[in-house]
Amino acid sequence: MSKIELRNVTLNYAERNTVFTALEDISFSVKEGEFVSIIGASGCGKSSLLSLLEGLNFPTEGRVTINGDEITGTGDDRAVVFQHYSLFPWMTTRANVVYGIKQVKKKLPNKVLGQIADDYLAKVGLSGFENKYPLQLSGGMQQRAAIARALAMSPAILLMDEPFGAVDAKNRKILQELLLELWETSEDKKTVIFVTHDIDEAILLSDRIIMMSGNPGRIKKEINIEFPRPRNGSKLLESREYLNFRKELITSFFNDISEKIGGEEVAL
Amino acid sequence: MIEKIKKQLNIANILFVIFLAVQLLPERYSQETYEINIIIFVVAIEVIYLFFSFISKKEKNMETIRDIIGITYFIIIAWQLMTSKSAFLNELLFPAPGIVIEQFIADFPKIIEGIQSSLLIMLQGYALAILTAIPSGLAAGWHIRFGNSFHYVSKFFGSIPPIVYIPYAIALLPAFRDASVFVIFAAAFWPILGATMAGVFNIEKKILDSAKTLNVGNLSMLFHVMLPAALPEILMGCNQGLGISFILLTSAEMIGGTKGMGFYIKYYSDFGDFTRIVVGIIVLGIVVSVITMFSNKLERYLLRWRQ
Repeated sequence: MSKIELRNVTLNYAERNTVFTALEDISFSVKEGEFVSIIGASGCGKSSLLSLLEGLNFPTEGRVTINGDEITGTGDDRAVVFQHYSLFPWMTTRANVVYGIKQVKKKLPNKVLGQIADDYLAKVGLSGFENKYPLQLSGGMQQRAAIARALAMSPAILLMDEPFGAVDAKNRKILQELLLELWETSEDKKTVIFVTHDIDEAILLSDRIIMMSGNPGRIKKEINIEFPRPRNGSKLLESREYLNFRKELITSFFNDISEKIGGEEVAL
Repeated sequence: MIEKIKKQLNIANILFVIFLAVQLLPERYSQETYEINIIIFVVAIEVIYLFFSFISKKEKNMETIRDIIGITYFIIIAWQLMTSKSAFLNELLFPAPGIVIEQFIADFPKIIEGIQSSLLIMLQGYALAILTAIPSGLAAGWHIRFGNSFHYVSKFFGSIPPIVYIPYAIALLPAFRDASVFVIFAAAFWPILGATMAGVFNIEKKILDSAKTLNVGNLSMLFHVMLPAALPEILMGCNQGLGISFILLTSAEMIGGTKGMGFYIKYYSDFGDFTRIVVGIIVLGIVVSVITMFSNKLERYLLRWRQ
């Protein structure tokens, strides 16, 4: 059964007198418990696409549904991790997680809320940092806390908008492994939509990759990732299958870009 | 030990010695100058300072305190040299520091009463302004259309020097107290409102998006998200409002008051009692400094999450 479905979705932004088409005729569906990455160059509309699922934006044409119901706004069946500003800087790490859970479970006493928050913070390796403010933490730790908050709200769907985009390469690897482990080992497999422009990240994490091309944003290709789970980042990266697969993907990615700029070679 | 004593060879202590030397100069004012008061005052400061400088381990804190004490000594020495020690200034207009302390002690109950009365009026007007301006500012900043027009309205009212409200306030609210509270409210309201609206307007959109995706309710959105997010700017408006309130309160007391520090200064200026005018000015300076210090401490606490 498909959990999320987009059918012929077009999104236009009105810009003064002109209309800018951010997304055009997008259709795909995501099964329950599936990990899907949306990959594409900057400005191809992948974040706009996610904003439709977040309920912060609505399609100009077409339908976006969850469990068959059209999305009418934000909802507690979804939790979001942004690249920046997911956390509120004036709340401590614990207060941020507690505030998130409180929006879903209003009746829980504060003591229980604090307990749940501490459990999730421990899961992402932030024990001992509960009383720190986000600006006292590194970028990577802030994203850990944001993930802890999202998971603590126990949503059915996790939406991630380039969550590791602003984290340095080393911490990025660590965070990918952490997310992979949390997702693969959780009892109720969450449906995840993960927006990124990092092809290795997408292959490592996803069951399926949706490649987008920009101006207007369209789906270029959908690729299933068949590598067995549980996956191990460093092992996977060294395997021959992985290298071949990656090469193929990049070629198709490049084709698109080089068509656009007239055959000139670009570095990804 | 020698290290510690060597360290005492600093500007504050050198000025202290100079102060003692100045006391050997003969008096030139014809009236009694009560120099013993200022000697006791300065010696007391020096004793306390020496005590703390020997036990304190925080070099940094002591450095600032030492400089402040040095400047205080310098001012007192200059003051004495220009007044009682040389009669360079007019004896009737510029009392010697010892006389001012003598008067301060004599008027102490009256001064405390005056401060109390001033601060109570101030607190009421200012609290009223904060309690009304911040929620209105949050709401106006939230509703863009409402906010846009409000922005110009608050700019207009904010640009009027609030002192012009005093005649109206006195005419409409015959009790001086109510009129003063109103004037302070009117003075502090607009800068706080304007700052709150600007603060809400400048909130990072991603923060609001993040809050929306958490399904935050309207009230929580206003008070748990928008208020703290806009707080740095709101506090700037509050500081501005506080400064204007002091000016206004003192002016109001000088124009129509029967109590308070502004009244104290005005009342004795009618008698040409410059000793008491100086007492009033110094007390006002101290009161405002202490309040500003506490408000800065509070601000630092409220914004402790900012790095």
